[in-house]
Amino acid sequence: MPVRPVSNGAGITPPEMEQMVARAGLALNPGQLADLVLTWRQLALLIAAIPRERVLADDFPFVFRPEPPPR
Amino acid sequence: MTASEPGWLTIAEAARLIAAKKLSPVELVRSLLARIQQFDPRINAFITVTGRQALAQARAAEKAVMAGKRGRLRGIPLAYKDIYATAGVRTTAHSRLLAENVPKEDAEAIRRLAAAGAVMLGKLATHEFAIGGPAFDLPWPPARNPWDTERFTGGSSSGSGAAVAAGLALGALGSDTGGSIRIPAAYCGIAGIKPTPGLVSRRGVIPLAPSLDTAGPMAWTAEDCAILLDALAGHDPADPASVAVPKGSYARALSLPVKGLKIGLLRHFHERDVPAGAEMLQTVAVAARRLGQLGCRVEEANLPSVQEYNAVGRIIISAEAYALHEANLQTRLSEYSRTFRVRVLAGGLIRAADYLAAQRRRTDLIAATARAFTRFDLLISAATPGPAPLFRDQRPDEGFAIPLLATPANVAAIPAAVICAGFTARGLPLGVQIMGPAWSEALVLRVAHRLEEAMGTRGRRPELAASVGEPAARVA
Repeated sequence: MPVRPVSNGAGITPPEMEQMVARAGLALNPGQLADLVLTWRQLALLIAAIPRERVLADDFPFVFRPEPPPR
Repeated sequence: MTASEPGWLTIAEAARLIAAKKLSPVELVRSLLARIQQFDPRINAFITVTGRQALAQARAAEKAVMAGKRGRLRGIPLAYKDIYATAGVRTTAHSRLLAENVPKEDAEAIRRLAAAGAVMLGKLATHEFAIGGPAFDLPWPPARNPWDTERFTGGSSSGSGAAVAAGLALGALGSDTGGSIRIPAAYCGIAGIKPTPGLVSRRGVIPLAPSLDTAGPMAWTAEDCAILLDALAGHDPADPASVAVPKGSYARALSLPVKGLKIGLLRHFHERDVPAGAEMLQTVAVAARRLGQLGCRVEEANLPSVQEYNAVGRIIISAEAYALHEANLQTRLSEYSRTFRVRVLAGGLIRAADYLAAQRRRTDLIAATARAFTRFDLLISAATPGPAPLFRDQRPDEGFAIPLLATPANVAAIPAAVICAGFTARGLPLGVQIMGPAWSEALVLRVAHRLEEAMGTRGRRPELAASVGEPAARVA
């Protein structure tokens, strides 16, 4: 069964938001914090909408191709 | 060598007149500089006007034409979204943070256009760092829609859409991460194409979200976009995202037939996922009928919902934009517009696992979109749910709540063009979007060109009011 992240819920409280903002190294005034709470709630809904059902062996979609060795 | 209304010429028309020595590039550029001075104080398309440089380039182009040199962009006046680096000319990204940023080198796209003989009229307004919406707390005002200056241009290539629609430049460069070429093209009644990632070099273009960023042309017609793409497309070994693909002429391919093509109509995009207004629905229905009359077979098609593509796109854009701006957001936060802060700060709270989940989901959506192209040559939908909204209805804090019909093509890594397909009863443009499989720009532009002709919208131009007062743009 897929496991949903619990820390990214849309119902985040202001103290939780302050903690996340501090961890991100940001210093926000109350108006900026209020804006962030509002937009984070929208973004959290989008994050929750992403399906997580994947097999463990699925690759990350980044491919780094080193140059082939010289012949 | 004169033309009665040079600002209303298409690139193709101007190129023919210049080649026949019936239009002087110098007179053309003088005429457009005069139009910018007359009309731009109400439109705010330009941040910087490079008048002296433009005239010098026009003189060089004229000399080359008289010496028998050919090229459809020789002497053609263009303007560039102010995220493209221009050597010796400030490149601000419409941001206080880069107000005095003067690059030493041109972006590769600018270099290619200059090598083709194009003339740079100046640098164009954008949303700050190509994200967000119109902001009134920046050093330059937002661009206004030439069809109704109380309305938004769409963005983020806002100045590009406005300048071309107002006849202040014959073509422009934009960039498109989630719809930033196609939405202003739709709202301003012009054409624009977001190419397949890797077709046009992004070297020297200030990034927003490198996983999704693309650079591309905007112009009055799809044909003009093809002419610009002929110069822009091509491998750039110095851009790690650039792809070496065989290159033909997009402009020459416009004359190939469209009869027999299978077109998928993504009715659920604009009827269920992002419900469009009645006039837009009618415009798309007429466009589908016209394609049928051109000999195409039009059938209903289905993709995952617009919301699914948008969720992936928004998470990737927010996370990557935050990562690019983190140092400045931590130390110079107040210098950004509120709109930028609202759109980007939340990206700092996205966990790595969530960002990677979005990237992994993107691979599913790319595959699902590619499957649709096993049944159809192209897909069409409305470009936006309706015409350009009023500035007073814009809400920066609704940034993530409204899905965009343009974003699926970014997430799916496919080319998509927008053309003007009609007008509302109030005279506002309505755009239709044409999407194709990766690297199908020639086919997308061919159908866009034929549909544009069939819809008969290109004879109508906005009525502009001349301005009095101080211009927003600095003249260099």
